[in-house]
Amino acid sequence: MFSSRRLRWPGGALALLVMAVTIAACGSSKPSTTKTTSTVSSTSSSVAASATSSTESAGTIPVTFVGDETGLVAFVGKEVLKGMEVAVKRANASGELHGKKIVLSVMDTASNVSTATVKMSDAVKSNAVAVFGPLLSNEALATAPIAERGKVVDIETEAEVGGLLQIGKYIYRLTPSEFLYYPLTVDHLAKLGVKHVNLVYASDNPTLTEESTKLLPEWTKKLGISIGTSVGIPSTTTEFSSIVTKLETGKPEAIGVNMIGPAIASIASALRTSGYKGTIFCDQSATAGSLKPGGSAANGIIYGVLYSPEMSFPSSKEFTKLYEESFPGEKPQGYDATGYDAMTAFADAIAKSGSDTREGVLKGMQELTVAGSFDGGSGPLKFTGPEHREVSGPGALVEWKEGAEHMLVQGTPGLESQPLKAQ
Amino acid sequence: MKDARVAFGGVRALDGVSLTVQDGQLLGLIGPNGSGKSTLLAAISRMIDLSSGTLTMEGRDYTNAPAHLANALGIARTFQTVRLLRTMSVLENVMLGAQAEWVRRGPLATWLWLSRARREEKRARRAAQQALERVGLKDLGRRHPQELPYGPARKVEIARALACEPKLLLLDEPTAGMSQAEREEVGILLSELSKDGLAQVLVEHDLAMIQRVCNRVVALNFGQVIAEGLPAQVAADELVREAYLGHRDAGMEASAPMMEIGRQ
Amino acid sequence: MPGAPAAGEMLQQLINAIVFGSVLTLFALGLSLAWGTLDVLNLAHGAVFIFAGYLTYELTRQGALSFVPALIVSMVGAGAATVALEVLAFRFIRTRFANKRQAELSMLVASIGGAIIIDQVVSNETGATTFGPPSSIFKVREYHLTGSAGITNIQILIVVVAVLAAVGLDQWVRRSRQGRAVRAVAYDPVTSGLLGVNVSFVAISTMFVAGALAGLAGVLLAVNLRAEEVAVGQDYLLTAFAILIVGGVGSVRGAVLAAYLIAIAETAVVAYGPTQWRDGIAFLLILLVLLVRPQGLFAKAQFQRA
Repeated sequence: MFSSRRLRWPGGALALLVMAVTIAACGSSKPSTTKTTSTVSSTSSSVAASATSSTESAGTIPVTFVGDETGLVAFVGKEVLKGMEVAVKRANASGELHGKKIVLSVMDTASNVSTATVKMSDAVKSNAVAVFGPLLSNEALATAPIAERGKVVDIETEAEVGGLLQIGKYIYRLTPSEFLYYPLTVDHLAKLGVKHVNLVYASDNPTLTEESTKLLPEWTKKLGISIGTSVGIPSTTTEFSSIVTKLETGKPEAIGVNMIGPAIASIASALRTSGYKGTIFCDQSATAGSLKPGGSAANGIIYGVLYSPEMSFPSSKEFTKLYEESFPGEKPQGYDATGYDAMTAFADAIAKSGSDTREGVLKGMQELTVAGSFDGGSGPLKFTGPEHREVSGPGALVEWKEGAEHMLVQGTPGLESQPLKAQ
Repeated sequence: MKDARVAFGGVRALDGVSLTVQDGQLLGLIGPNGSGKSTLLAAISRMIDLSSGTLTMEGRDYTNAPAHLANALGIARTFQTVRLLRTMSVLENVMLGAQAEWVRRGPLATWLWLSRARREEKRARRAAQQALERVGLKDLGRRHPQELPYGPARKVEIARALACEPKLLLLDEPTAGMSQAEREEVGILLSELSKDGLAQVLVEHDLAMIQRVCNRVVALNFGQVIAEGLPAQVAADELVREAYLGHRDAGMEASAPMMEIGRQ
Repeated sequence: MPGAPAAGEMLQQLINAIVFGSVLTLFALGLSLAWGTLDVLNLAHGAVFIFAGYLTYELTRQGALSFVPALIVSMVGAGAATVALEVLAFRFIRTRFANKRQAELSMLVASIGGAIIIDQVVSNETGATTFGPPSSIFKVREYHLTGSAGITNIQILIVVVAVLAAVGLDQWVRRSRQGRAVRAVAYDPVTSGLLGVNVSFVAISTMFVAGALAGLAGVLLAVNLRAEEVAVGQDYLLTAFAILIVGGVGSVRGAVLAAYLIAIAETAVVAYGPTQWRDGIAFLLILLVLLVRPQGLFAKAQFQRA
């Protein structure tokens, strides 16, 4: 879902210069690469850090998150990591790991492709029995082949890019595509009696463009909703009033804002300021605080999400509870759930195969796939796709109100994608 | 100026030159091309740094001060090639000299003392106009430097330097390229300034002019002082004749005015 | 009757264009000033712009300051950040390199470094995500005009401030003696120094003014947009280049004209053309100007480059 965020830097020579300087800066300023996260396990950090001790009888199962701890999507990376930590805690306490404990270490990619490849090579050379891949699509595409060649299971989360799973049998992607639960939003619009919508989307983001120009028109057509104006603008756009004027033409009952970053809050605020009273709906990128700066103008915006703390699935409730215990005063978000889901699947795989070697992990993942689904923080996740190395999830429809998400509809688990019920 | 040395690479442009200029003195600086005359003016005005030696102005050492402080001490100069700012009118160019003191306080001062700034502006305008009148160009204020013929443009430079209200005026070949009549005018002007008590250093190829207006002459060669004294004495000096005029045993009249445009 | 809504929309889009042009003007003025006088193509201008928005966010989110004090502090902060770049980097480069081209390139690279540092500070403090000052610091209200058209109070403020800043800067540079010093330094720093102009102080104060202008634009935009992130500054920087090239480097009037020209062109594309080509407009204009009039629309630059 972050496939195009890198494009937000201006193109051409300027970008090259910026990149060059960034790379140089990163190379010098971040010498410390691996560190054991202290919140996960109090066992000696030397176990996870030393690449030479391949004795797996020590009672630990070393894994590495090659992730975006700093850089462009650090705000996501930090949450994913927290989710992983919660899952490790759960698995280690459950006893399902045959008396062993998972030790998670982190290698920071700084959201930089070349750094990511170096770190992934280091992780593959280490004693880690599985790796969790970086979040940006271009990082994932560059690092997955390294894991594949090293015969290490690589569990991807946020990186939503075509061709990732085709790299090989060691690559998994355990965060459901938002396409699978976006229909919840369309279904809700139909129930509200919406007949006409106008739409703005980030034209430089492949995910949002596909969603807005191919999938959304199909879904709305099925439910008798017509899309009037559909405006594609670059995600770097910072002048919205002309867009807003265009979106309001024809007085649509709902306006879709399939953007990323601050544009969502800016457009929503501008719509409300100019007196627009209809429904505003978004892509799931609106989650994780993007709407907060919108203040009260963002009230009532609806969007589909992977996870909501209000979900009623037992595994979701368990995740919410464990998270709140681990991080008192914080509410878990979707990004936390993706980390939790990935790590939980890994733990389930070890439990299934009973072996924590690299081959054992692969065998366990394959057995888990055969079982068809596993219970994650975002509910029961069903293995799907041509080789069953990706998943679909129920998702939920939420409404933003006074600084928080409130669940309106919970998705149905066990389906390939959410149905258009209002039909 | 004491024992000043300036070196560019291995070349000693100035090699132990000591020079003192008194109030009202009009010091002529002569010497062949490359003898260090312009370098000397550049050093005095703090355009370039000395490798060694000291600069003092009325007892104050300013050897390491930035150029604008040398100006504040009362040192103003003209240039061998015309250095007027083409983006401003003639009057504005001259006002730039007149406002030196105030400008040091920078842009914020205008906003903080608006009325005072306006008064200053008026004063500078008057001073600039007076300076232009002094060089005989009182009607050219609104023109732009690039519209002026060479002679008047040089005079504007003199006016700009005068607008700084200097105590020491450095003139680098001010009459080069001027007509005979213009040169006479400048000569008279410099003599008058000298009578008013202004200390001046004049670099000049026109030795007739030096003879006419200067009350003291220093001859340089290879960055060293080779002769010093009254104009007639220096002109008669054997070393000077050799260095300056080569082996041609010519008189002063041989030194026809040279066009030195853009030589720098 | 059928024409009424369309006319209202047209008026609204015109208002949008004028407001957009005003933001661009505010942004471009400081960039133009620094480039035109000191030959500093300050690529950190966009970062400073966002830095000011961030300062306002920090100063107001806990309710510590109200709008006007926050605006002033943020402008001073933005000016100080730019002065820091001048003092720590540009000044040394200027004296180190005799070759002007080399100096310009070095300053370009140094300003990129500055941009990265400022961006990183803001990213770290905001968790690299969306931020914006609370809506309570400036109650945005819309005034209805004819039909569906309307204008908000923050938009009016932006237009008024942009016009005042442009006229003020233009007059300052043209009329005041300090402006004359700035122009003198722009044309020939060595001669200016010999005439008593404190070149390094003029440089510092010019950079402060340039930074404060970026800060002014940054704060007003933060309030208008409600939400920002680090990348927003980069977007404005690119459009500002277009403005400088179209308007003629160093010309205040040219920059203002070009800012409104680009704003109107881009808005027209959004309203009546293929919206996704909006960003292309700026570059199309650059190309046209470079072909037809390489010196920019206003050839006679005010703070002239040698």
